[in-house]
Amino acid sequence: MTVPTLTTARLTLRLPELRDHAAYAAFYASPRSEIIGGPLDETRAWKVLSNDVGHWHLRGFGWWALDDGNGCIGTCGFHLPAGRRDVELGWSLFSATGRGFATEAARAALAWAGARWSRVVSNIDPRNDASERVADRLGAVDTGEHAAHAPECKVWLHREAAA
Amino acid sequence: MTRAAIPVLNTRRLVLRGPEPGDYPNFKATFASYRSRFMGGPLNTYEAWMLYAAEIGHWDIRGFGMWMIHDRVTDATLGMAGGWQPAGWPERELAWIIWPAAAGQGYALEATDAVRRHLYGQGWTTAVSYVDPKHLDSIRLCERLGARRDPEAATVDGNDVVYRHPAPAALVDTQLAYGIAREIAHYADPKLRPEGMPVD
Repeated sequence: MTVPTLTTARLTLRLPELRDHAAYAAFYASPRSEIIGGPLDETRAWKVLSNDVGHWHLRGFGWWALDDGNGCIGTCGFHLPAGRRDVELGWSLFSATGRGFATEAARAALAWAGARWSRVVSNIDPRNDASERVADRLGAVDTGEHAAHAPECKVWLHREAAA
Repeated sequence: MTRAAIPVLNTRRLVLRGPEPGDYPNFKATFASYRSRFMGGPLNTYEAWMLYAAEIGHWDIRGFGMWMIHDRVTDATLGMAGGWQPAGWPERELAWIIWPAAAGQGYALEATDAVRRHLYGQGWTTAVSYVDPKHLDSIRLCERLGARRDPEAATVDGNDVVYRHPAPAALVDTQLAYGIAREIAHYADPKLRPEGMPVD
């Protein structure tokens, strides 16, 4: 399995690697990660990194590291762990927030996915305003439903993927 | 190391290959069971799947990882053995898990011995195993492999004990190496098959 590398105006989306661990660990150690289940210690942050890589092998799709040329500033991609119905598009900006990087990466991810899935969702905690704005910019709509596996999260449906 | 480049290790009864998506069911069953209690389990469906993803991802990230152990004849999976080093691990670890139905047949010994010789051949000069002190089967396996408690070595989180494996030179043409080889051979081809009721 070869993981595709995507390029956008400002980012390279590539397979996460060992050198990205410091960025994962710093983000998951920070209070910013609370809204997605953090903070996590170094070993648990490592598990997220190795999950992100292993997911590609298990499913043929997964999360990319977002590289701005100076290293990993976050992650973005599709995931479908066991027990879930819908493919989820997600994003986590570790640093460099507020500059549209999450939207830029997620647009590239959606373009890569094309018509691969009939339904793509993003599960977003309503307290996560920044993430809701990204979903909105991507053209996703809040279905009003709550995610079965994480009742605090609302299910946003990506219209472009459904079209 | 990409998954395609993971070396295949052959032993008398076993074939060790990189973990494949199709090998997941027995992994999941084991980590859903009480068998996994010394390895962070039992895990729910999501946790088990994510751990399997992490097992596969470890190969890409570190260049080594856990092999899937297969029966050489039936190709059925029996467990996993290999090298393991998440962030926060003080040293590179030799680790193993055998599915409950395959326990007691020396598979962990045979697989881990092969893995250890392979990794030593790749330049490892030492290795440890982090063991829950209540996990008597694993402690016994450490001892059968010639590993000894290393009270000076850093533990993962203070709840484990560290067994240090014999150095590469201690496994070349030594009584220890001969003993391990004999025990493995005995599982495959027992020289003594007890019959009838034991007397005392």
